[in-house]
Amino acid sequence: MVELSKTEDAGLLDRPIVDGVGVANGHDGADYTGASIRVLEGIEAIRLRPAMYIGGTDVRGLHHLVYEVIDNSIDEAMAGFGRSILVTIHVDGSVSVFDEGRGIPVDVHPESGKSALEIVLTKVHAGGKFDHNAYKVSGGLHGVGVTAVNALSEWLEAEVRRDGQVWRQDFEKGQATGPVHALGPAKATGTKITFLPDSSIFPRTEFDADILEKRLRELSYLNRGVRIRLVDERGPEPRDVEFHSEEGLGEFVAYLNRAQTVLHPPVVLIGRDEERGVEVEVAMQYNDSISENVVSYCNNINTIEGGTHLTGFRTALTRTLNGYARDAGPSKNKDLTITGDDFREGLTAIVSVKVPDPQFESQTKIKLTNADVEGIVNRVVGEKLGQFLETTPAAAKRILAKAMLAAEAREAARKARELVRNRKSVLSGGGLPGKLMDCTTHDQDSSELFLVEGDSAGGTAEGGRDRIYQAILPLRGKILNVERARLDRVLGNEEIRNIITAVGNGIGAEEDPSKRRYGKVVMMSDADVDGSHIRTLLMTFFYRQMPRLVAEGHLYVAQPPLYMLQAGKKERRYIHTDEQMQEILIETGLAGALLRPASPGGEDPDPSREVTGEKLRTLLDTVAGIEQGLRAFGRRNRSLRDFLGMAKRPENRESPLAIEGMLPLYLVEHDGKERALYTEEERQAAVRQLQDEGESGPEAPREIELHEVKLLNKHLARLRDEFQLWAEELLPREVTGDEPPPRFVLHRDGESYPLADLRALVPMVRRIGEKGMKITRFKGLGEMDADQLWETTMDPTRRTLLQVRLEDAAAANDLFSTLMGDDVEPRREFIEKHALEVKNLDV
Amino acid sequence: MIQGRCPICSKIFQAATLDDLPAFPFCSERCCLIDLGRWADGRYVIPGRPAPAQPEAAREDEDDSG
Repeated sequence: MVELSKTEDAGLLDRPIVDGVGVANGHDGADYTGASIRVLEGIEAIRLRPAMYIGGTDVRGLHHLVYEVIDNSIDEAMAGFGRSILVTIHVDGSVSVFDEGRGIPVDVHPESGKSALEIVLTKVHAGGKFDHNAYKVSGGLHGVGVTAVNALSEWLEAEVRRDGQVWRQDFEKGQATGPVHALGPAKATGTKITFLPDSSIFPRTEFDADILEKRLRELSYLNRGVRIRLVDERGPEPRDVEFHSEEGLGEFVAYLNRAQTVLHPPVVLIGRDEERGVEVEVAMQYNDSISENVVSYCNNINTIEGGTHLTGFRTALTRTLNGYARDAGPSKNKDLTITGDDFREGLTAIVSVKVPDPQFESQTKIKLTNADVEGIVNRVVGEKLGQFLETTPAAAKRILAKAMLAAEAREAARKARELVRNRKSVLSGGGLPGKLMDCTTHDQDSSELFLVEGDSAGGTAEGGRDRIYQAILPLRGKILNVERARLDRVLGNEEIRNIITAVGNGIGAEEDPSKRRYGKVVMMSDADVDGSHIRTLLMTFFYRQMPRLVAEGHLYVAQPPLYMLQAGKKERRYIHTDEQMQEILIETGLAGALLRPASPGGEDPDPSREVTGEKLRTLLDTVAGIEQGLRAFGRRNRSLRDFLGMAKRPENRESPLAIEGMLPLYLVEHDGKERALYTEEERQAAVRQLQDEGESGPEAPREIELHEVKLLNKHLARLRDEFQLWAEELLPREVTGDEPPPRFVLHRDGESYPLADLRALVPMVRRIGEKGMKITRFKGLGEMDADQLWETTMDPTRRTLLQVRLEDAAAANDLFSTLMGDDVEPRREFIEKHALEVKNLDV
Repeated sequence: MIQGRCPICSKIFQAATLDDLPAFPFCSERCCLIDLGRWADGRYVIPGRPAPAQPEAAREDEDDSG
């Protein structure tokens, strides 16, 4: 401690730290005392200010001691000497690091008369690392590393296997307690350093095996091929684990992502800059989380605050992915800009560089500052990542979609804030929407909010409602789309905001049905396909943003009528579905009706052939069934008369297997001829026959399966068995010139109605049913007056309200997802097909 | 057991009750927010019927007035 009082020497103490270049050179040689003082200075300086060398005396600093020793062993292994390193925490709390390297030289240093081993362990800036030929790249503390460990240890033992001998030298608090001496013969080579941290320096000297394990695992990934074993001899059950990675960083990211759902296999990008001797290795893998986990290393040192290598990586990542996004074509959402942050959501990456002359912002190495590294990493990552994206489009697409979602989330957060802000901008009545026609009481059980599509229908509802407990919110639900071709259904920003504000229930995470302003929220829209679309949109919105409101059963669908009927002096009737309407017309038309077959000569007087009452109803249903089958046949673009002609009467059929009056199940075209096959057996016989003939024809036979015939034959069999009628009676008689004579005549109420064929029966009955009946069809809510809307749809004593259950809303959500899909045609078909189903949800 | 597929990111999730899924029917609050953003943006559209054909002249008039 005397030396510290010499002020001119105090500067020297700091020089090795600041300067970074060897100091020892200038002070070598004969002046033994001077040199020894300087050595002392080095050790004392470390013991006085340990934080400058190992970052602190806390738990991190304590473990840093082990890292410093291991770094030397790793350097040896990466230089090609020894593959295994054994780290042991001993029962007394000391730690040993045992490698299979060349062993630190023990020969006497010509300048100081000390062993090379002693110099390495006691002199700051001594060691092979300043000679780039010895170790190309090193992460150690500029030669301070192992000296610092020695200086901060209660004791340290160095055991070296080299030159066929085991050598040993002991130290206390950084100073040799004796010379290096041989212990005996050794076959292998290697170095084993054992030390016990000085408890007068470190408040806590107990090593944590978990902390060491984490770093050793990391080192094994960073230095592929090296085997690192950790043994903890303390405790009842010793820990013994080994880390080893042949894949390196790719395995590292996979390990970091082990608890995540990943989007693609790890990508490893490797490159180097020959001129500067910089090696770059990057491994990256996206997972479906939103957190970024990018870790950077320079020469195995975790650069916690990043630096030029990290900057180079980020710049290249953003540039390359943006370029790829641009080339991939315009996005669906053109206003969306993807930022660097968006590209790093869910990214796990390791950026590792090996640099011959690393420069750090501080002695504790948490930020790399070598300027040229940025450009090198940027170039390597840009090039290799570009190649990866080109050759792995599936992964590239997923990464891009992920980033776009991130960008959208950013935008969405902004928009959501706006929605809320606008709500709070109190311009009118407590921030409630201006369009809301509120009710006077707000009883949470009995009050009702009607969401009505269209301002005019909203006005009608306003006129019809009971203003005490019924509120009306008109919604604008359609827009003319960009191509001006369709009237699309959409709920705009204004509509969404109005709904959220009026319902008062909150949305998303803040949803609280106990705050709702009404007992029931009732969707009221037209009873047609368009109306069902707006209902689908609304239900999807409620399902997604207010699922609790739905789950508690507060969402309802109103049931406006489709038709109004008035027959004579009877009371008006309201009809809710087309099917119901058809049924009423048919029933009315059939009452008292009688059907008689007719020949060209006139009606058949035989009373046994008359059809009436229940039987006529059965006939009508059978014909309706046939009509359904014929609609399917109609899409085949073939002659109906030819087709029905195939249902041969027994006397003139060709096929011995054909069943009387039935249609063929298959058609086979071969050699320009078409054959009708009536049964499965007949078809198989035909197939066998064609096979036997071999390649007789110029073309292979073409087979058409008439799927609709199954249904048609069922009904045709009924016609035949119950009514002795045949398929030909489904079409008018074939005559030249005039109107064909009727096949049937329908009698009702003293009037007779000739029917050209059986198919004319249903429309005729319907037409008769309409007689004397006044039918009003409501094309929309707007066609009803206020009183009609009240009595049919809003009056609690007469209306039918349908409660929307959570699963109903979920079904609407699924339908909506399909409707929102990318392919227009399947989607259109789906709409047509399911529009009625959505409506049926109301039943 | 409630099982669902997030309408935004298609992630599949499950839980015993609705209470265990604060972001239902989404996997996370973030996806819920993205959805809200799309509603607010008017991006949820159901394609509708063809618009009634208008004579050229009438259409131009409409363009002029709009």
